[in-house]
Amino acid sequence: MPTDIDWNSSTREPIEKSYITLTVNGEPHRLGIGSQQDEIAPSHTLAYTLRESLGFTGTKIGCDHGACGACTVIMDGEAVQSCSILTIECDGKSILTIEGLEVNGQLHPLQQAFIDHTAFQCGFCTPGIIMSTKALLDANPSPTEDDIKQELAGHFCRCISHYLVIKAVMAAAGRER
Amino acid sequence: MRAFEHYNAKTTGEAVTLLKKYGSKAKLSAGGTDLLGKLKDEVLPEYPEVLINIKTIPDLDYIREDDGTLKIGALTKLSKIATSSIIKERYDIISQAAQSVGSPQIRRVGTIGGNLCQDVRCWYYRYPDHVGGRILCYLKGGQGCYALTGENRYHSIFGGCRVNGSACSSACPAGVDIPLYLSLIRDGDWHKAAEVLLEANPFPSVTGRVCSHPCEQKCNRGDFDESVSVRAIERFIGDYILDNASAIIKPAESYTGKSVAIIGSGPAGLSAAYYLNASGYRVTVFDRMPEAGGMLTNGIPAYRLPKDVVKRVLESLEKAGVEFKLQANIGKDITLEALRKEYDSVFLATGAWNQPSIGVEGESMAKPGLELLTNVNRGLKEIPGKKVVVIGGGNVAVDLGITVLRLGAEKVTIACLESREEMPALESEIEQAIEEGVKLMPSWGPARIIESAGKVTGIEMVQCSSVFDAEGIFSPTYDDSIRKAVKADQIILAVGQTADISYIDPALPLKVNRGLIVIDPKTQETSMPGIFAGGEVTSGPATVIEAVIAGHRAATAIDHYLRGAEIKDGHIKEKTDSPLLMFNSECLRKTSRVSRPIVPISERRLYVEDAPGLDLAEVEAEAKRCFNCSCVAVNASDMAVVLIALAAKIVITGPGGIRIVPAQDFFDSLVNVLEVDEILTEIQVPRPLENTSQTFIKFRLRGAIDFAIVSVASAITLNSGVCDDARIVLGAVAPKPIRAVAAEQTITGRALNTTVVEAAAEAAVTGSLPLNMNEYKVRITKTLVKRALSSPDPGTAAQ
Repeated sequence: MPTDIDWNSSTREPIEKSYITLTVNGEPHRLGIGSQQDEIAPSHTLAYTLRESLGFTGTKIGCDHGACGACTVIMDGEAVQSCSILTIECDGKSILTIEGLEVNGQLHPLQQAFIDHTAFQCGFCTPGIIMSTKALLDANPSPTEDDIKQELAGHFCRCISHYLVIKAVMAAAGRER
Repeated sequence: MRAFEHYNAKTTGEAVTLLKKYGSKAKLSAGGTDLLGKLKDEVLPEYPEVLINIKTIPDLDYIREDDGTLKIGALTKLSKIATSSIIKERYDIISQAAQSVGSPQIRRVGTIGGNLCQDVRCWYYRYPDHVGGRILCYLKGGQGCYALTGENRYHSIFGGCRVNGSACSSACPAGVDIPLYLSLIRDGDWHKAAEVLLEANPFPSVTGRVCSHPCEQKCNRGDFDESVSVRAIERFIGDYILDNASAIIKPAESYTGKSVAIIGSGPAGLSAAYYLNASGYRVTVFDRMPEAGGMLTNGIPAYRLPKDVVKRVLESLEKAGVEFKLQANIGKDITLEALRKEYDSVFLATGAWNQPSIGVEGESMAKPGLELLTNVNRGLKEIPGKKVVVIGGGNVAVDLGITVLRLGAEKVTIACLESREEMPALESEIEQAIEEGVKLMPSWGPARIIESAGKVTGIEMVQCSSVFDAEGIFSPTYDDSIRKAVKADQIILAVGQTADISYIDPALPLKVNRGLIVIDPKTQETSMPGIFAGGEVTSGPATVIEAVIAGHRAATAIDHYLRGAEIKDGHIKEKTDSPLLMFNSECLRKTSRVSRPIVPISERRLYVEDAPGLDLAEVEAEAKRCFNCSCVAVNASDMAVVLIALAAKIVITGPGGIRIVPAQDFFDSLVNVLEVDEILTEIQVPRPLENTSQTFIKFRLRGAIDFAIVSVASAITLNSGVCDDARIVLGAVAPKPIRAVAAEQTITGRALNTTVVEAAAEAAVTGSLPLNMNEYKVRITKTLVKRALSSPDPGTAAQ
């Protein structure tokens, strides 16, 4: 209960760490906090850090306002928009990006399904859609078409790939019509 | 994003401690999806120095029911609320609303507390700074609302909220709450409108005629079509006050037994007299002239300020209890010291009536301008000359130019050191003088007055190259090689009037600087305790409204002094927070301002007012043109509407502990009632009765990542088909979520048949004020209310 605040012991200012740890695609990274070139500034978004500091440019930044879904990555099992999360608030988190799907040079079946169904044209929104789909299938291996539409409602595609995306996801889930 | 410091608060106490330390320099991040966007776009009025992440507080993420009350920790994610079985079972509209927010990704990050505290929606407000520059609207500290007359399809249909005062009132030296009295006129409450004016300005009949009306220059309507004729309306109310003086300007209810002497009965003295008398002090006003009124009576020409107006002002003051002692020779008949002993306090407001020497050869042949104006105001129609040169560039000089011309002079020239653009007189009055035939000679200074046989024959002028030095200090420089002689038989001086303070015994410890009485600008207090001063005797030549304000401020300070309280600046300023402000929908159409031009030149006289006033119908029409400037953004929180419908309470934690407010009251001020060091920590929802049906309907353009254009939440308790209790809440239609009280009343006690539901839907939008592009929201609101009340089974309403 918020009424039970122990005002004597908990009203200090928090002591901040000088670094965070972030696991990306299974590999741990120790990132210093600060304003130096190789450090993470408090204002850096996770999308920025992934792309600019760690080189995972498969994650795209579209609107940068949480409204297009292009920057979606999986954080601790949940699909989230990396443009709307500050890196400094991700201490201890495990992130999966599109680069983490491929195993030993083999595309993930989901990636292959997108290719097989030509579920994209320009491909800019595709990494985000695939990451949302991956999280969905991990939690619900045989989704209905409606489940897929609901989950992907936050993804925008200017090339109108939506119909083929649904086909690809249904196929990857083994529910191809 | 620009840099900020970042803290991860581990407890509510830590977060409150940080908020207390950084105040408005800090921002809380409770989810961050809205905040980060605003930081990237630099939308906020003030970019935060510190960001406090409270998502790291572990004990604010819970959903549980205690004794029939649902408790939701403020940091509970919307995704969790949307799927919670407790909530789905009994509080379904909360889960529906949560499920309707943003996209699945946003709901996994966004929290209920963050959703409730979200900032209002308006694309002007949220216009990215890096795209073409900042739109400085009300919310960002500007003075106007762009949506009121611009693109406003998603904005409020129920009026706006005032944020930083209004442009007109901020421009008014007296701070008159102009939009308020105009709205009272629209309501037909003339008495209240008069009171609002009198609160800040006791003589609207005077200022309604002579004020330079900076309010009109700053009026936001000026950018739309034409500014509101505030001064003409003020004049009308001023005359209304004089017509009803016995009912409006009354003696104080009780008198304190203390007395104040006021020296000088000009606008400063009269203003102080008005407020001191109203506060219960016995006021005696002394003046050396045979008639009271100072500059109002003697200085300002009757064609601008008719003398019967001034007389009626004076009469109303006398009837209210102010005593006048005229032809009083302070310093001779009675000394300042004696007055100070006889009265509990003294206010010096003796003006600036002295024409100082300007050091020009033949100066003694020239006539002091104020003396001439006084004589004319007393009815002495002397013709000063056929060819007259007035020296000076201020309002007195321009008044003299016109007066002398109307007296019958053939040629009148106004010569001043300032260039045409620098002339301190009001532009409209300069233009009037030119229109009537006055010649202007800007950038010329007098070199010598030419005489022949004891008579003025002309004046030699020298070119003035600059009036002010680099620091803006009066320091004229001349080009001696450029000279000009102007034929004239009379020279009138209207330059640099100074205060005559010879009535003050120099032995008194009253601080004087450059001939002006030194005062504390906030309290008008002089260096001698109990003696206050104001108006031109402290400032040099100024305007009527400035004198009125000085008198008001002095009255407040004298009141504090006599009550033994700390002397503070008590000048009344308008309040900034107010409930929803209404305007007349006609104001959104382009219209011309109602104003009566001054009469044609052929009809202008010395003793007849030039400018006719407005009539009642015109004033009413003009008052409707006021935008009542406010912010018409909308609060689009989906959680807010359902929580208000379910009579939820919001728990707020601050340095002093917790306080609990009804969800509805949480939105009482824009954006919410949280103080800078408070945090929303919990939401409490009483369990709805079994027979309560809940509905939430959100109308939006897209099924995801979209805000409501209109949302409706309702909780209707039915008892054998009859409505026992109803709560209907509308979202995204006003700067805050609002209850459709009239609709609730319509259905309470009745069965929800088609007729009743229709009537309720109609009632929900009564009093709505659609803007130019959002009338459709009124219709949608009506439809949604109808659907909500017709929904047979709670939880099945379409989204």
